[in-house]
Amino acid sequence: MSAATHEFLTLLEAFKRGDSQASARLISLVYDDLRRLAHANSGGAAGRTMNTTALVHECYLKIVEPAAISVESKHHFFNLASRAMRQVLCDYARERIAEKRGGGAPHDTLSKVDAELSAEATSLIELDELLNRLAEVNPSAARVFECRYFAGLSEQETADTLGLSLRTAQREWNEARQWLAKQMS
Amino acid sequence: MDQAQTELIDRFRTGAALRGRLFGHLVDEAGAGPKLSSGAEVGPWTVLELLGSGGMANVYLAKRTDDAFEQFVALKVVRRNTGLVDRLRHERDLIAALRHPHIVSLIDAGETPEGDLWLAMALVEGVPIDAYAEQLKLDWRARIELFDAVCGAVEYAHGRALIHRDIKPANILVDGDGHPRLLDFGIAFEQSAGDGGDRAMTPGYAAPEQIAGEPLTTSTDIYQLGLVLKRLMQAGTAPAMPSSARFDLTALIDRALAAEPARRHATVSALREDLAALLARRPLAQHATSLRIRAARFGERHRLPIVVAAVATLALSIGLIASAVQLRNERDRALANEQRAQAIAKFLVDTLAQANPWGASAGGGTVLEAMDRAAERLDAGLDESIDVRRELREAIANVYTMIDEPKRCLSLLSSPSAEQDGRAASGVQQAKLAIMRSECHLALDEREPSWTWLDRAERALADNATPEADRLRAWILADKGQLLSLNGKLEEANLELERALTLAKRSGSHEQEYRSYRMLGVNLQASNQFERSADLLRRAAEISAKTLGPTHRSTLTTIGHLAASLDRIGRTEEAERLLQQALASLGTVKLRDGDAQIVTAQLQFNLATLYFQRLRLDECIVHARAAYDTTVGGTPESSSQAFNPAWRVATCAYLAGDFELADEFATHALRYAHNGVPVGVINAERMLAAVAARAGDAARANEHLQRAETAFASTEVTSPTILTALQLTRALCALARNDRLAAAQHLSDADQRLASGKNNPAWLTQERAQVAALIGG
Repeated sequence: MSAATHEFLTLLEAFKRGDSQASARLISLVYDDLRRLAHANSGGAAGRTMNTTALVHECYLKIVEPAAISVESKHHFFNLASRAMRQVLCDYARERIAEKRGGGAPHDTLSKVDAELSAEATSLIELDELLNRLAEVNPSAARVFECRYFAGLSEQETADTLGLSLRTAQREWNEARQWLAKQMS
Repeated sequence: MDQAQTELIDRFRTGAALRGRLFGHLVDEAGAGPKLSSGAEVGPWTVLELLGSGGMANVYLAKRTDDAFEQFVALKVVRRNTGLVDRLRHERDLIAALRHPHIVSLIDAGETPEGDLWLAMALVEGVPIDAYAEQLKLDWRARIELFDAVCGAVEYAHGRALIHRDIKPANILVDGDGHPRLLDFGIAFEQSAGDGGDRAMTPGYAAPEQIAGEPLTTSTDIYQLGLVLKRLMQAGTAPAMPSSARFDLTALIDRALAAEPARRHATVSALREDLAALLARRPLAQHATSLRIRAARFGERHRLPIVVAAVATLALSIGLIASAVQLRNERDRALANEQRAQAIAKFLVDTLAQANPWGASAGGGTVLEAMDRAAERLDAGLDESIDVRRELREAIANVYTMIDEPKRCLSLLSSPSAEQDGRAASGVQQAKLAIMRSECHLALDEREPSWTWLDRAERALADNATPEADRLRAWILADKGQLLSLNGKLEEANLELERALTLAKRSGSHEQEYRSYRMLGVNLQASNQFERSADLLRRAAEISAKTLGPTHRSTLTTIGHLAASLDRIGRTEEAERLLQQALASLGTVKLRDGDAQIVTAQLQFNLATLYFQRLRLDECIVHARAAYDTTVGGTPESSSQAFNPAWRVATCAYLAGDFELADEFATHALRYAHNGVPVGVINAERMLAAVAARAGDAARANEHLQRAETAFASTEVTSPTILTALQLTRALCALARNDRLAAAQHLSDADQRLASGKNNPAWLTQERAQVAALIGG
């Protein structure tokens, strides 16, 4: 295991235990890649279409040394990472909403960007809660959704990671999306 | 399935969560690094609370850690960012020297041990400019006037070679009194070039050239100002405007927002001219031919090969040379030099406004060559207006002074066409030029013409009673004080400096006030008036700490002098602590190595002197040697700066009986003394004679003594100490050639001097005792 992989897994453990600084450190570990990922996709850079999945991979592979890692541990890692992604992002969304309610900075005028962010955070929290409910009725579909939506894994990777057939993974992805859309609309 | 559901399903795409703005923000905040908790120490600052975070930085309310000066700041801690660190290395002095009512000043900056960058800025409370206009429902005139104040700040900074790079409403805060303040000058973050041009610019406020990853110029700021104006005029309910004014406003904004930088306003002052025309309801300048634009054309036509790589180099060397000059003659010109640096920058930026200074390719000759060509063309290019010629001439003269070329500076300023242009200049202009000529003469150690030009400068101001004239008068008087003190006329010097101080206070110029306090403090120290000296130097240190920052070289060197005075009134412990603190705080300032080196040398020397006064010779030798090594490493062989520390080592070694070391360092001291310290020549030769005499080498001792005598005869020496020390050396040399009678005679002469002296230094008494013992034995 490389030092980076080790650090990542240690942080992941700390994060699961509820260490609030862990998510920030987790992200700063792969910060530069994530930043590229985030900014390539946020619509600011015109004329550049980025393959999210490819970027995500580049990012993961930085952590998980490709040569040294077995297929099983790679799947294990993707499994952890997709859960972590969801948790980190949803925690962040909740934090933001709470901060806004708490008043925040005295002169913090709610700009358009802030409003958009808050809307995004709210719908993400809703999605998170719905996913918890989905996990009760169809745990496998909820996991498939997590891998694809939050971690950017491809169909095949999702199937491999969760030990499903490709067909099942595809079906459950569709089921999850339809169920969620129905609940939300 | 209904339409809404289909749309939702479409939104659930692979990696969609990673495409949102929320994720981008999360990453940015994580990028700002772990948040510091209250009580954490960053450089000399203690974190109190988090004010906000975003981009790649966290901003805290912080307090200065030591109790010397209580100060609260907004402390921005930027995650490791080499691009910004590199640029700050070049620009920090310029940014730190920004003093404008509408600019939030950068007080200090440094790097943490982890390599994060910290920036201490003045605290401001306020709301973003657009929100302010909205809340107060400002009318169109009030909005434009508010915006014009911001432009004034940007114009000021451009004149000092600084580009903001990230002007947006969130960076312009308006306080309760309606004063706008621009934040974060010159410290907008950029990614390194290797990052695919992916700059962390503010989306929506980036100029086309920023998006394209092209080099940024003053035009970029003009574009962003255009966007701010547009936003400001639309904030809340757009204010009513006469339709013709609205038409002009649209034209103005369109011009500022032109995609091609060359089609925008050439300078902020051109933009402001249009704003003024709009407010006065005059037609906008279609073909503005302001001075600066003509200056720019001049530059273009003659294709000055000054690239802005040169600006960077120059900005750096300015700092170094400035401090070199300062240290050599004990003349503090740090603040004046910063002003000069700004004038040069103004020239470079203004003349080359269109030439994309920040992204120039390599090459283009040295600054000196470029300046020479520019100077030549100035005299040939008589078709330019007098104003343009004068402004350019002043700028080139400034560059010459900065790069230590006083002769070139003088010949430029005294050419027939310069003289002719000068006669048409205003009194204030003439005074400025005269001061410059005076300082060039002084740099050449031509004291009489230097004095004459100061007189002329004074006359040129006549009965002008403006604060600017008072500021120049204070400057002139301080220079006169300096000249007098160089000539050993301390009392007269102090009178001039007292007058300078009064005028400086009246003119409101902190810079001149600081100079007067400091020079007077140093002079009073030389006249043994230590109490008052300490008082004045403390004030000088306070002004400097407030205006330039607590770790600025001027502050630290002033503290060095202050420590010396404190030491002499018996407050040795306080002095020692101040010096140790200053040396320690230098450890946190990593950005300007060259400067830090020079200041370190000075402080080490101050500490050595303190030990020397107490005859703590071993400690003195350690610090003086350190000062010597640091100085030699950072200054040219032709300067005299290394004299003082070398001489200090030599004296300590001599008194400690280590004659070998004394000989070695007296030889070093002599070498540097020949670069313009005549008294040093006497001292060093005298010591070499004494060392040789003690070793019994009468011939060599005599040789050095003769040289010391020759130097003594040709120098106006007023210090009784030097004469006494020379007497003692004469005694030693007489002893070496076995002439006990002559030796005794010299000793008794020395005794007479000592008996009449009031403040005989300890080392001299010790030397006398040793010589007496040798003669007696």
